[in-house]
Parts: sequence; structure tokens; C-alpha cells
Amino acid sequence: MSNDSLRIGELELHSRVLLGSAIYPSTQVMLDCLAASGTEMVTVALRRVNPATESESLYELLRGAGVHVLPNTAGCYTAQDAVLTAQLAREGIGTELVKLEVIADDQTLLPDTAGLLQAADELVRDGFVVLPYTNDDPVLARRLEDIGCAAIMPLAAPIGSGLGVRNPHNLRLIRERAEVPVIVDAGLGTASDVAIVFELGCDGVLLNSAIARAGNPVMMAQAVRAAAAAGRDAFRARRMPRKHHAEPSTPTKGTPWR
Amino acid sequence: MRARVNGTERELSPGTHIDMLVREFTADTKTVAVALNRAVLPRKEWSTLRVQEGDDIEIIAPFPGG
Repeated sequence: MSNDSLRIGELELHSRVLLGSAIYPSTQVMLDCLAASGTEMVTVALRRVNPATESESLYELLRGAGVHVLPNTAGCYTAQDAVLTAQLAREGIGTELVKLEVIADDQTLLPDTAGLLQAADELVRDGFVVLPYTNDDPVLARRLEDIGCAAIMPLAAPIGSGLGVRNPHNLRLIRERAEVPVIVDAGLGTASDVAIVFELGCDGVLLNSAIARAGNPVMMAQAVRAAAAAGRDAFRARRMPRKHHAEPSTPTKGTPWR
Repeated sequence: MRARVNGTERELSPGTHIDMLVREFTADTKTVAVALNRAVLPRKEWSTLRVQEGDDIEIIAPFPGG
């Protein structure tokens, strides 16, 4: 719909779907998924250059596909590592955007909230546009916004789990209290999960495994795009109130034999 | 002279510039960033800075990620 763009820092996005760039069956499938989803922003990680596996520059490939590149700090377990990784991304690809991850442990991949706040604070002060991956905790979300984060990225469920929205109440609370965009990141498994996120009023989704690990990734990317549009429209249309009892939709007046 | 490069201890010739080291890893350096002793080393310093004994160097680039 027109005039329904998503603003992240200075950027205005017309798609509310963000994608990751990992674990697709092939580079071509990834590019086809980007196109099918309509995404305008794609995440990348930063890793050691390996001469043995050097291939076409991922960054050039993504820029060629016409999307903004959002570097993440995946794999960072301390605020210090995350801050340095973001600074290296800025040096390497010249962006101040960062999807900030400070992970607590390998088993849960949940955020280390103390480290997350510390890193977010340092990066905001250093001029970064910070999008923190966080728990679905409305209090923490408020703290991150107070620090100056450009968006809040609460999880729907653990990274890569595909379990869908585990706590819609918290996501709604985060959305109601935030002035910045809320982009649900992690744990979404299929198109209906995406629709639910948007029906809750959230502003965007970030998916990777849900598409890349689908049996038909490109078809799933199309489904996600349609679900995002449907969910967003349903939210903007303002759903009917829920009722505890039946109410006939057919008029009862004039019913014969009554 | 020994230094740590991308996690591996290496014997390097004295006077090795960071620039030379980066090009050992990749010809396409456009999106490469370097951390020297856990701080960003700006690209403009690659060609002037020589590796010192015991340096810890990370040479990184964008990689698929979620």
C-alpha cells in the first residue's frame, strides 16, 4: 500500500520483509528468494577471509540485487566483540547500520541482555544505527529504545527453531510502548507466523531459516511476501472485537415460524 | 618474526606490510576490514604499517549470515 513504508534511521523501505543471506541451497536460490520476497534489506555476517573458499563477493552480489546490506554481529558473546565487529563492518562496507547480536550461549542463542545494553550504548554513541536482536521483553525493549536504538528486534522464538510466535502478548506490548519500528527476528517458521506478527501491529520481520530451509525456498519467499501484506492490511483494517458468545450474522428479524 | 593471522601463528618476514598480508588472502579487498590487536585498522594505514612481533591480525569480510 502506498505511504506505508518502514523507516529505519534515514532509510525508507517499501518492503517490511528483511532476509538473511545464509544456508540457501545455492547462491542463485538466494537471489531468487530475495526477488520473490520483495525484500530491500539483507543481513550478512563478518567472518575471516579464507583464501580456499573465496568466491564472488557477497556484498557485490547483494548490492547488485538492489538491496541494502545489514551487517550483523552473530557469533559475538561479549559487548566488546560485538562493538569491534560492527566497527569492522563499517570499515569494510561503509555502513553505519548494524544488527546487534550479543549471544549468551550456544545452546539457547538467546541474547546476553547486559552485554546487549552495553554494546548498544557504545555503538549508538559511536554513530551507528543500531538494530538490536533482543528477548521479547517489553522492559528491555524500552531500555534499548531509550539508549537510542533505531529499531527493536525481538525474537518470536529461538533462532532457527521455526516455532513461530511464542508470546504474542509480549510482542504486542513491545509494539504498543515503542516509538521506533519493531521488527520480529528469529524463530518464525512459515507464512502464517509472519501474518500473525503483522496482525499484532509489528512493523517488520526478519527471516532466514524459514525460507532457506523450506522444501521450496522461492515459493516460501513468495508466501512470506503475501503473508506480510495480508497481515499488515489486516492490522490496518482493525479487526473485529472478539466475543465470547455467538452472534448471528444473518438478520433474525422476519425469520419465518418465529 | 611471529604474528597471529586469522587465528593461526605465522612466521612473517620482517617489514611485512598489512597490505601484503591482506593480498595473500584475497585479491578482492574492496569489502575487507582488518583488526590489529583488537582495534580497527583503517584501510589507508594498510600500506604504511608493518607487522610487529606478536601482532594479532584479523582479516575479515562479509559472509552469509542471518
